[in-house]
Amino acid sequence: MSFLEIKNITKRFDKQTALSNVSANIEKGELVCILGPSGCGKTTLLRIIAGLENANSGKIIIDGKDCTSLPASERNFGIVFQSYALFPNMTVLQNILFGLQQKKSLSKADMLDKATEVLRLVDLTEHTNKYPRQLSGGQQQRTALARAIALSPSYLLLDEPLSALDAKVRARLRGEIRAIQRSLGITTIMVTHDQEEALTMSDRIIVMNNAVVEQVGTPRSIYDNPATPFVANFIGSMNFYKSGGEICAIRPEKLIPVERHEAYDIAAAVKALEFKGALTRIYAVLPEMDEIYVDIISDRADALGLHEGALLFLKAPAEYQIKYSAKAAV
Amino acid sequence: MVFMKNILNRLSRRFSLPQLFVLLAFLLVFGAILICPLISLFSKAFLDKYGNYAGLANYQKYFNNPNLSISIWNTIDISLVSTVFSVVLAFLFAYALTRSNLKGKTLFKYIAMIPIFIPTIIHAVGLVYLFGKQGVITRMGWDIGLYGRTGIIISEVIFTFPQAFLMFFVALEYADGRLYDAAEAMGISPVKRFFRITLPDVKYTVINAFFVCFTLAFADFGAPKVLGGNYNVLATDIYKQIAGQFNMNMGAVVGSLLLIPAVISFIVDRIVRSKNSSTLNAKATKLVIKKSFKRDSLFFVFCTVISLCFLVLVAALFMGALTEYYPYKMDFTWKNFEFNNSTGGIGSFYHSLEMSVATAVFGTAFVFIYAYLCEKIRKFGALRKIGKLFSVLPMALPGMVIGISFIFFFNNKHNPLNFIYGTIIILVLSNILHYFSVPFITATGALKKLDAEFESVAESMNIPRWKTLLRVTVPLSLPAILEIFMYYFVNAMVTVSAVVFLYSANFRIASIAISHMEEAGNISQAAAMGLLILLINVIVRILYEIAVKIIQFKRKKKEERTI
Repeated sequence: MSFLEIKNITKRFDKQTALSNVSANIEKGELVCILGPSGCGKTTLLRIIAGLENANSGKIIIDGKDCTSLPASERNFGIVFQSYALFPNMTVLQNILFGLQQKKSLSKADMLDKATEVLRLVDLTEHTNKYPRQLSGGQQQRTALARAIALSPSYLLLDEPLSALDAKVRARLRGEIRAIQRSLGITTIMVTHDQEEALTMSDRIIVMNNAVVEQVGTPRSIYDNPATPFVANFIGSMNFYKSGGEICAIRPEKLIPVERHEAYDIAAAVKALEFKGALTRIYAVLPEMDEIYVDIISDRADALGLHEGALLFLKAPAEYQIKYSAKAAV
Repeated sequence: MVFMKNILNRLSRRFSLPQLFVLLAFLLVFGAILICPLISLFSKAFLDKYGNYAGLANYQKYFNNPNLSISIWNTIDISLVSTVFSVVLAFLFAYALTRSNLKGKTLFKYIAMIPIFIPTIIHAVGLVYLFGKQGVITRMGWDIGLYGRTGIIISEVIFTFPQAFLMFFVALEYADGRLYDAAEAMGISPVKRFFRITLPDVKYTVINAFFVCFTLAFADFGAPKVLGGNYNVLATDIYKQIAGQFNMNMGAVVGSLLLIPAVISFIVDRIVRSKNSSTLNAKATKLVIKKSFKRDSLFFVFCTVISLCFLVLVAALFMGALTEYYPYKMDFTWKNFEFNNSTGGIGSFYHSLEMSVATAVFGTAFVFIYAYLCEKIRKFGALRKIGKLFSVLPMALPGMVIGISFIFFFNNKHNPLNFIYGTIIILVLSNILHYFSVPFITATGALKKLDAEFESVAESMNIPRWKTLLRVTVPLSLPAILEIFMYYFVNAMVTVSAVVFLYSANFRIASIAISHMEEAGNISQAAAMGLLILLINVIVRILYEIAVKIIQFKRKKKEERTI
């Protein structure tokens, strides 16, 4: 039995369906990302797991207990929002103590100990008496995380926790959040629209689109075997082309450019070259007018003597080809 | 037993019952004070003296009596003329303060707000000192014929000017500098820029200001009471019907007529609000006001003249209040501040203070929690929508209508709330209702600025709602709360219209006492009481400004200390 079971959840807002018969299981201790484009229903699903929103039908089972209509206050989780929602009139320490003071079983000293402990964990011990506005974005984010884990929740919910930060801080915090999550062994569900974030951080990914779950799996399995053209296109890049009555898909880095005299699978006309430093991206058009692109080492591109209008010969290894029925349009 | 209690607990939390009960309680209380009295008002209008259904007979009787129905045309006449004057002057004044490099803007702004701090009846008393039969200016040889139409119009302009000014000031303060820069680069003349950029930007405010001023003038009681003479208007008619002839049914008829422009104004406001929402662009740059000596000098003269009018009015009150017997014995005296007990005495001033503090305390608490419930609860969307609808309705209710409908509703033997009739409670209640809409907008605005996830985070930490409200929401909304407090206090100090029907002989308030002093010919005491009200309101306003400054300063200092 999984730690958290999402069973056939459906949620409608007025006439719009935000979630349509969504199911997924989350195991104890893992970090699962709910990944999808904006408006796919991922945040709604998180809010339903939190108890901040009620589903029209379906069940949420946590640790074997039906929690579908349990209010948020009784579910024992920690949450970090995109805006962090730090109380601006309280210092970092007060923000964390505010929740701890609710626990009647703790003595004052225990509360302070606990707060100090989580602040050490997120490396904020030097900033305990600052107000949120005096902190950098990354520090605010870590304060929100510390506040969320201070009450030793049984699971942690992260709603786009990194999207308000700039690229460098984001990359560093990915690692930090993952490390803290691992060391606490806390079950974590994170919502994101950033595929790189999902790939690098999660044990498993739930890919969503248009209110339904498209695929659930480890980052590797989703990347290698995307179940639908949407997943294929949303995670990483993918070339699509028609071949027989089917749609063929192959990752740009799996296509191997070869010399004219060698055996090849695809011939295409080069449309444009884009020098990107170590790699050169080649845009090409197939005879059926499907457009594809390939990333190859720049030196290799030179060696092949590629230029606009030239012919490009490619090997598409069968083990990397994915076939979709023609009906599943991208 | 314990088992049952557990289940009940569980059930109540699962369906957010506490929140639902509080929301329902607030809606019911507010709905009851808002709607039930209005129903009694309308039912009275359709009954005869003996309580039998009379259909439209009362209205027929009213319109067939030219002595009565002439008031409608009189009221429209004075409202229309005073509104045109007020809107034009207020627009120019606000334009001068926002779109020129005039010196002394802050001073001009506060002077323009003086009339808000005194009852309308005192505007009229001031005018009597200046233009009355023995008025300072009349004695200098210029008799404008104050009593009647002229006096009411001047008084209504004074009354409505600050309201229109504040609306224009807010609207004109924001301008997208890019538009003006582009227009200038294209060689478009300043006059054309005004008509093509400035005016279209504020056209809805102009429409709104027009209706607000019209409605205020239409239902004002204080000025026509003192200056009306034989010139009858609806507000004084109601008073005569109810307080003079005890003809409740005819009073109800006039009251319902008084509602017409207010309802139209309300609908216009709704339409305007929905169209006016997307004016401010995040990318807008600040408008840089060009140097122009000619423009600034012209506006300076204009603003000085308007300000002098208000200052002279206040000076006239000082003169009246501090002299023995104007114009015959001009010796300095404090004796006018020893008010006659027959007209209310100094006690009426203390009663006013009591009532205003109670209105401010309970009104602020009620409005803030009401707005909080409408804004920060996630569930019960339909109920919250009703709550928001209720909140804007008081805007369409003139004070006089609230006053008489409260009499009809509460002064009824069968009403279990009958006991509040004639007490301070009914006065406070009518004030809270009368001035509800503006504080509600202030509170909602402040709450909307707070992160919607504060409540969610607190809930995830199992912190009860009331604790989040007290520890987070209230401290962060403190400036808005103070603003609401001040608004309620100042308005309760100056109001006449609603309370004129509701005060009792043993709880007279200052603004009513003024009207009695004026009736009894003690005009210098009336002026003195007016000054006391002005003084206390200015003090409250200053305290408010200081408090806001302190809050801002403390927040800043808190941050500096820890950096």
